This record gives sequence, structure tokens and C-alpha cells, in this order.
Amino acid sequence: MINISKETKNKEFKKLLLGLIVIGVICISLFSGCTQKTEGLPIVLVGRDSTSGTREFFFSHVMNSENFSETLQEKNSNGGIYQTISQTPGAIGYVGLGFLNTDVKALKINNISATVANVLAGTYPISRDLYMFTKGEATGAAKEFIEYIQSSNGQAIVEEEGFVPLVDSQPYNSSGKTVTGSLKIGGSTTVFPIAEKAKESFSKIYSDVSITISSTGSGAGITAVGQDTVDIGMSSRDLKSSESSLGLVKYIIAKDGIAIIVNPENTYVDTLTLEQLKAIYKGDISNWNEFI
Amino acid sequence: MSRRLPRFLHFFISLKKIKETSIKTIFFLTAISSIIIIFSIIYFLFQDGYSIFQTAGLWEFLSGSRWYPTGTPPLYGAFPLIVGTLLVTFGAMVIAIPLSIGSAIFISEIASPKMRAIIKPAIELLAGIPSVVYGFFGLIVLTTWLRIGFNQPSGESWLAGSILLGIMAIPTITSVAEDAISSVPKEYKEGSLALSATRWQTISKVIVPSAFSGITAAIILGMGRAIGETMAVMMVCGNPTYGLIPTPITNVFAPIKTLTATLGIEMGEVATGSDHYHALFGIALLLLVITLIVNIIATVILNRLKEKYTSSSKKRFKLRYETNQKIKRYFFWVMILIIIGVLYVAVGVLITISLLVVAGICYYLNKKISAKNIQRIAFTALFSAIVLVLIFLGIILSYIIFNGAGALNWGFLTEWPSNLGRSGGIFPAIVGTFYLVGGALFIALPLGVGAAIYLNEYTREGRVTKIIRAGADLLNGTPSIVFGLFGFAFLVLYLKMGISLLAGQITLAFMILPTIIRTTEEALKSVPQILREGSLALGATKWQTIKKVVLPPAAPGILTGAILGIGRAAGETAPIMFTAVVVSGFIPSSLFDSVNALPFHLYMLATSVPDSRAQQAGTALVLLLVVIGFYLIAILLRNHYKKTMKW
Amino acid sequence: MIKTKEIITTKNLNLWYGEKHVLQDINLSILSNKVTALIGPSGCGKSTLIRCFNRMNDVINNCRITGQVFFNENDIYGPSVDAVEIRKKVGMVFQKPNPFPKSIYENVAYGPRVQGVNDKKILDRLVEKSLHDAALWDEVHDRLYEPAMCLSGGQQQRLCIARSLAIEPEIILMDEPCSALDPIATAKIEDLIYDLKQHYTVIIVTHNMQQAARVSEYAAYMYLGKLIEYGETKQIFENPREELTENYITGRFG
Ligand SMILES: Nc1ncnc2c1ncn2[C@@H]1O[C@H](COP(=O)(O)OP(=O)(O)OP(=O)(O)O)[C@@H](O)[C@H]1O
Ligand SMILES: [Mg+2]
Repeated sequence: MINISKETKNKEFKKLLLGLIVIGVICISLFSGCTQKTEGLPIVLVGRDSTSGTREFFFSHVMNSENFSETLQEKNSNGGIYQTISQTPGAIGYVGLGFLNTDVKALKINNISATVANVLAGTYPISRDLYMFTKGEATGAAKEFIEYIQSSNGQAIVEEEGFVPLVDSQPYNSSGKTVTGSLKIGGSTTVFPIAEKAKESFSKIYSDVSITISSTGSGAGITAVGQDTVDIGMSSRDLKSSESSLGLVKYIIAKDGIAIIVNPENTYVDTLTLEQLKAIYKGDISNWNEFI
Repeated sequence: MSRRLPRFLHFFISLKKIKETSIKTIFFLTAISSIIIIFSIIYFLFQDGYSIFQTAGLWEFLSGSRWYPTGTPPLYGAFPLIVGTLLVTFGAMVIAIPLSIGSAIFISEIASPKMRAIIKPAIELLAGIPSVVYGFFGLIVLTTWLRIGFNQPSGESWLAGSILLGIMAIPTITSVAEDAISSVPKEYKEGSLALSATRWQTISKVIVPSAFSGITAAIILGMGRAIGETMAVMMVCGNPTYGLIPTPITNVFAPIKTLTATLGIEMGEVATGSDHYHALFGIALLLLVITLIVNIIATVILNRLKEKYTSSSKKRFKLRYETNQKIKRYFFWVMILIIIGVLYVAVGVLITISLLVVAGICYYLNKKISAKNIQRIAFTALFSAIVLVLIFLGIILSYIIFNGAGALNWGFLTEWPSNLGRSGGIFPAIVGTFYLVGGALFIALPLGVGAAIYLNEYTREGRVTKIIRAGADLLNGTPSIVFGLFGFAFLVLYLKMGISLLAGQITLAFMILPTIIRTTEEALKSVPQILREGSLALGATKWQTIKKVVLPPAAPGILTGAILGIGRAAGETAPIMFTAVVVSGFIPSSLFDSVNALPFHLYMLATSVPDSRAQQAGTALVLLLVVIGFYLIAILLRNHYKKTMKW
Repeated sequence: MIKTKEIITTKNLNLWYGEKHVLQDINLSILSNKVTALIGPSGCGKSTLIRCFNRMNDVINNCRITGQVFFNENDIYGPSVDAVEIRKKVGMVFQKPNPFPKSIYENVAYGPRVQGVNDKKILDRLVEKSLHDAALWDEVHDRLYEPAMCLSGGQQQRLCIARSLAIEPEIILMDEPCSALDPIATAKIEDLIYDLKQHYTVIIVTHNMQQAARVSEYAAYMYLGKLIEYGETKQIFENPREELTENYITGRFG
């Protein structure tokens, strides 16, 4: 009674394993049947979060203040959009011209390419100004920094970073000026790269000035400068009526074209009209194959 | 007797007394600090959040179906966000519960001591991976796999969030469940084995049911963690703009927006003082309330558990026993119905029926085959659970290591970043991280150690200690993003510190305080009572005893706790995102400057700087090495002093 | 009278816990349908020895065994033997009553259930018979579905005995079954042991010399891991061959 025949047990075990494998195979095939096959290429809408200046601009100028589709996915930075578009074949998104690169494909709007030249010429339809705000007139280091960015030296950086420079800028003149102290800048993630790069060369002219720049978003930048927690607020949108009481002075530092980008694998479209773009973002067009 | 003492001695005695009482008072103050902190968190969140309940209406806030605070008119419906949070957490639990409970059983009942010595630290390692690293991995790798593997338009989805959160919850659930299983009296196990039950029958019929409440608590704690997790979820869930309830509700590939992600995305850009700002604090309050409830439930269950094997009150057990049985049966059938319902909605009639048939066959086989073979199957399943967990760990680690190693060189570690971090190094972020955790430790260590000394040395177990411990537990369960918002409202704005190193250090200090209290207490408890009595009997005062006799042997344990604490702090992003960090190649020269930190640098690179894949992976690797380095030191210390310390 | 035979025989049984040599060359034959008592000072290896008879030492990690233990002429440490099969034949009652946190009924039904008996009628019969045999039926028959934890210590211990009877073993090992009980409960258990030997072989570890003298027919005296003397209880107590045994017994009796 103690001697257990090992043989029979093993046979049972083998049978059992076989049974389990069969069950497993059935399960897997059932589940693989669940994942539906899709036709064409469904559109994945990507946009900025609701507090972003870019989004507000897009909302008023492209959407004409009509609501986005419910499926719009939010990213809280231009790079986030870029990242998702570059790894999602069906995605569409909007970013500043500065974020264009080979991993994504910019669409023409009304058959006009998204280039700096076209924005400067005024033919590319989706463009806007970029701003810096100070509390009262800018003074000291803040004044010099803004002047520097507005100068042709600064505008070179603007262009380098893919934004649209201001017309008629003059070279920066530092003769006879001394700038010291610290300068705090905060705000728009779109303006951030310009300020960051300008800081690198500005510090070369004035080695005694220390600058910190935080990229927190336009709304936060405007609030912060209003509360004096930073000296310069960066913004990719103009002041709202609720912010007009803060006593801020506005400086336009560059122009920005907003590029509509899709994944390079997307061969369905090369150009969109503003109406089509709106229809896509409203959710009325939900598959790229509607463009064939 | 004292009359005959010379005058100056009187003076010394009273001085001594004053010293002792003032020391005690100081310890008391440190002990109640965690309570003060939790209350001020609630107060500040409430202060900044309540106005939204007035403007939008509490009911509208909780049940409104759209979240669109910048629309005209603004919509403050948090309902889809709540649903999103619950769904992601639910999915995470579906993944985490079987794996972690399987692992816990495997570790405590099946693994040989050698295996245990490998597996336990491995699972702890999983807890040491910072959430932003999980998010990074999820964003780059997991979402792509899901998109291609399931032929979906986008991989950023509910499922992606659930998988990540599930993996992140595994270490929490496993360690608490393992404690619960190991604390089942060994008499039960022996009794069952002696009745000719197999090991698996013993585990499934005696050990697991006995540890049931502990396992439940483990699951709830894991759930609390999952609900409060921000960075990973924010990076992989897609975040549909108004908050979106998936249609159908079982569509795991739908994008989803959680409470925490909403905070993480919108908090940085919102205009301070606007309705939207208050609405975000309303969300934080909601989040805090949910996690507090979840954690309180877990704490209550765990406390019950402690009493269960010690209490002699049989009456209560009897009452609970009967209701327990009823509830269990009820629960079972409800679960079955829910599962069938979910399956029906998700995959249709045919598949549901065939799945039920398969389940039926399994059940039948279960009755038919010998206990021995069931044991084999069960052990195989448990083994696969642990293997799966280790595979997760391996995939994540190897991805980070293989991709990051290329970027890693001396220049990367010692140079300033340039071109927005696309080239150059991450030196300021490394320094910033060490500044942050160093400062946090500097603040939290005295508070935490003081609190533990008060709890362990100066009071008896009673109402006071219970309240203080509850405070620490609640603090422990508070989501890190809530700390971030609190730091922003209280330190940055109210105390006018600005976005500064100091604000970040304090916020992190609050966050690691409970860890330090708990580990210090354990270290103090492991010092034998006889030592204290010996010292007191020699005429030493309480404080002298603590200083000379208790603290020295407890020091390694306290140190371990401190290192665990900073390990955790070094990997956190959410608490410092609004309080301390900015993107800049800048090393702070004062406490009121802002800093950069590794997790934040990684977050910015991964989400804001295209063409920086190598730097992203490199930063992730450095962050991982820093955090895991801290954990390793802690684990080694702990093992080294295991003989004197009970963990 | 039922024919007695050697039901358990150990041959050169040695056992180590890690480096510690706990059992040294134990050679012992236990007779069926008798009560055998194991006596000896604390820590001499009594519990360890009886735990060898149902392979309970398998649970302990650093335990190493050499030599053989034969149960009905089969080596229970043989390569193809399953410990579970041994434990079906060799039941065990522990020092501290250890009922499961389940109902009384479930406690007794546990053994049959794990052996695959699911028929409620058979289970009912088994539970009743086992509780009867353990002299507990009268006290609990009207509250079978109450938690076992609600019973008194002595009742719990009889429940544990009933629990092991339910799997119908041949041998019952008892490790100081009365050490947690008062004299009345102890007396009940002793009566029970007396009844049990009609059908079962009982091996009992005890520190109580009177108890050993009262309940057992054979006795083994162990000292520091060695079996010093083994024989009829009467002979061991009245006329021990070894001096060590005599010292221990007389020491106890004072
Ligand atoms: N799991 C274990 N690991 C290591 N040593 C053990 C273990 N269990 C028992 N021992 C040691 O083995 C020796 C024999 O133990 P055992 O429990 O068999 O003694 P005993 O005769 O039953 O004593 P008592 O009368 O006190 O119950 C003791 O010295 C004990 O310390
Ligand atoms: Mg013993």
C-alpha cells in the first residue's frame, strides 16, 4: 500500500499536460480572434493639454472654437506630441515649426508647406506670435535679455531653433553696459528652447549674470511674472482678459508657425485644407482612407 | 533623604529633571510632526480646492461627464477621471494580484532558502525602479508592442497603464502578502501535513485561508499605490482630452485619463488662483480622500490580523467566522457573475461559452486527477508567476542597460548639458538629485528618528501611539503628486519660497518621513529590553540610556531606513515637479535657487526633447543606478546586521 | 486478542539538524496495537524521533537523515516513497492543540477530504465515528458547525485526535498531548488512549512518569539523542537495567 506505482502516475501526468496544452491553445486562439482587424488606418488625434498656449491658438484659429473630438489625446509638451506621432502610424498632431524633423512628416496646409519662409511671407495660414512679459517696463538684466533676443543675434537663435524671426532686427549692442545679478525666467514650453539657447550666448557677453529658466507652460509663466516669482514670463499666447489686471508689459520676440505633423508611414495625405483639418480634429473624419 | 544633600546637588538634580522633560517634549513634538503634516496637507488642499465645489457644485464636480476647465463655459466634471483611475487600477490588480500572490506563496512556502535569497531582493529591486523609468520604458517600448501586437491604432491606452501599474504594485503586494503567509502559525501547516494533505492542499486549504485578511490588506495597499501613481500613468495612458470613459467599458485599448495624470499634465501650466487651479486642488483632494480610505481599510485589516493570533476573545472570532463564511460564498458567486458579464460584453457569446466550457473541464479535471498532480500543476503555475515577474524585471532592466550603456561615459557624468540635453552630460542633474535627497534626509532623519524614539521609548502602547502611527501610515499612503501640490501651495506660494531647492527638500522630507519612522522603530524594537533595564538600574537617566545603550546598536538599522528613504526620494518626480526643478544646466548656489534632478531631466528629455534617445536611456540608466545603489546598500546593511535585527 | 507484530522498526537511524547530531544510531521496534511511551529529559530527541515515523522532519530545511525506518517492512525513506502516503497510515497529534480556524466538522472532515472523499454522507459518517472514538461526540454533536477555536483546550486536543482518527491510520503518534491540559482533561485523554489501542498502535511522548506508567505497555528511555533502554513499561519502571534510566525515573519520583 505504500509502494506507489510511479509509472501510472507519470502517464496520468502526461495525459494531463496534454489536456492543459490543448486548453491553452484553444484559449490563445480564441483570444487572438478577439483582436479585431482594422481597415485603412484609423486616425489617432494628438494635441496639447488644455492649458497650453499652442492649444488655445489652435482651438481659436483652426477649430474656430468648436470642441475637439473626445478621443484627442493630450500631451503636455511639444516633444510629447512629436514622440507619439513618430511611433504611431495613424497619429496626427500639431507642434511648433521648431519641432519638425525627419521622424515626422509635416503636411501642407492649403498646399502651402510649413516653412519659415512661408510664414514670413504670410502665406502659411497657421502662425502666431511668441511673447515675453515683464511686470511693468523691463529693467536691468531683464531688459537687456529681451533686447538681446529681439536683436539680430537673438533672432539668429530663433531661426536656428526653427522658429520664425522678426523682421528688421538690429545687431545687439553691448558696449558700455554692465549687467549683473540673477534673472529668473519661466513659462511656455514652446518659447523655452529659444530662451535656453539665448541664455547660453547671453552669459558669454555678461559673465556675471546668472539665469534660470523653467519651462512650465504659458499660463504658469504669466501667473509667475504677475506674482513676481520670475522676472520674465514666456508665453505662446497673448494675455487673456482675466490676466489684463496683472500690469504686464508685452514683448513680441518671435513668430511661430504651427506645423501639422503625421507619421512618415502615413501615405494617405500630403496636404489638408483648414476645413479638413478641423473635421479631423472634430472627429468627423476618423480614418485616413477617407482621403483616397 | 534629599534634605541632607548639599545645595548645589539640588540644583543639578532639578537641572537634570528639566533636561529630561525638555528632551521628552522635543521627542513628542517630532512624533506629532507627521500628524501635523497630514493635517496641513488636507488643510491646504481644502483651502485651495473647496472654492471649486462652490463654483461648480460638489455633485456636478463628482458626476459631470466632461473635464474641460479651459472651455467656454468651463466644465469641471471629474467623473470620467475617477472612472479612469478606477479602471486603470482594476486592470493593474487583475495583473498584479495573481502574480504577486503566486510569488508570495512561492517565496514563503516553496522556494528553498537559497532561491529565496535571490528572489526576494529581485522583487525588492522592482520596487526600486523609479516610476519615471517605468514610464519611459512604457512610452518607448510597451506602447509600441501593444500597438503592433494587437494591431491597434495607438498603444497608449488603459492596458498600457494597467500593465505598468500592475508591475509596479507587485513588490508591495508580494511583500505584505508574504509577511501574512509567513505569520500563519506553523502548527496549522504541520497539522495539515500530518493529516496526509499534500503541500499544495496545505497551502490552498489552510495557509492561504488563514492569511486571507493579510492578503486582502496587501492587495488594498497595492491598490493604494496604484491609484496614487502619477508619472508612469501619465506617460502611457494617452490622456484623452475631456477624460473619456471607454466604449465599450471593457475596451482596454481605449486611451484613458486618470486623476493623477490630470494633475501632472495641467498643474504646471495653470494660472494660479484661477478656477481651473482650484479645480485641480479639488482633484487632489478627491485623490487624497480615495487613497486615505483605501489605506485606512488596509491598516484596520492589518491591525485586526495582528490581534487575530494573539487575542483570546473567542466571541468576536465566532461572529466573524459565520459572517465570513456567508460573505465568502456570496462574494464567490458575485465574482463569477461579474466575470461572466464582463466576458460577455468584451468578447461575445460564443467565446464566453467556450471559456466556460474550458473552465468546466478544468473543474472536472480538478475533481478527477490525483492530489499529487494537482500539486504539480499548482507549483508549476506558482513557479511561472515568479518567473514572469522576474522576466518583467529582466526586460526592463536589460532595455535600460543596453540602451543606456552606449550613452554612458565620463563626459556624460561630468559635463553640463548643452543643446537642451541632446548633447553634453547630466552633471547638474546628478548634483541636484544628491542635493535634494541630502536635504530631505537632513530634515526627515531627526524628525523620523525622534518620532520613533518617542513611540518606542517614551510611551506605552495606547491611544497616543495609535494616533501617531495612524498619521504616519496615512502619510505613507499619500500619493506623491499630492505632496507636490501641497509643496506648491504651502511652500512655494504661501511661504514664498518660490520654485527652490529648499521647497523640494522639504516636500521630499515629508514623503520619506514615514519610512524612516517605521524602520527606526523596528531597529529600536530589536534592541533587547534587558539592555535598557540594565542601564536604568545603574542610575542612568532615560535619555542617557537611549543615547548610550539603545541608539548605538540600533544605528545600523536606522541607517538602513535612512538609505531606503533617500533611495525612494531620489527616484521621485511628481513631488519636485512643481516645487523645485527646472530644466537648466545649473547647480544651485543657495537653498532658494531651483535645481535640476535626474528623474525630472529624464521626464523632460523623454517628453520634450526629440532626437535625444541615447541621452534618455543614459539618464534612465544613471537614475536607476543611483536608486538601486541606495537600495543595494540598504539591503546589504540589513543582511549584515540581520542577526541583531528582526525585519 | 489481536496478533501483534513489529509495525515500526528503525535501523541505525541518525539525524542531524545542520551540524547538530540529534539522533544517534537509534534501533527500535515498536509493536502494533500497543501503547509505547517515549520518555527522557527535555531536548533528548523524543519529538525528533517520532517525527521521523511520519516524515514530518521533511518540512525542516537543514535536516539530514541516514539509516532506515521500516513501516510494515517498507522503508519509508526509500526513494520512491511519497511522504503523503506514509502520513495516511501514521497520524499525529501535537503538543499544543492545533485545530484549523474552521468549523469542528470541517476540521474532522479535512483529512478525508484531502484524500478525495467528497460524498457528504460518507463524510458525515466519518465525522461522527471519529468524534465518537475521540470521546467528543456528546459534547459537540449539536454545534458541529461552530468554529473549532471556541472549544476548550482539552476539547480541542480531543478534536485533534478525532481529526487524525478520521483518516483511519494504523499508528497514532502523540507528542506530549496533555502538556497543555488540566488533570481532568488529561484523564479523559488517557482513557481515550486506553480505548484506542484496541484498533491502533499508539506512540506517546510524555514527561509525566505516572502517565507513562498508567497508559503504556512499552517504554523507551532516551538520553542525549541515544536510545538508552527499551522494554516493557513495568520492567523499565520497577527494574531498569541502565543506571541512567534509574536516575531519571527515581529523580522524577523524588
Ligand atoms: N528545527 C530544528 N533545528 C535545529 N535544531 C533543532 C530543531 N528542532 C529541534 N532541534 C534540536 O534537537 C534536539 C532535540 O529536540 P527535540 O524537540 O526532539 O527534543 P525533545 O526530546 O522533544 O524535548 P522536549 O521534551 O523539550 O520536547 C534539541 O537539542 C533541539 O534543540
Ligand atoms: Mg518535544
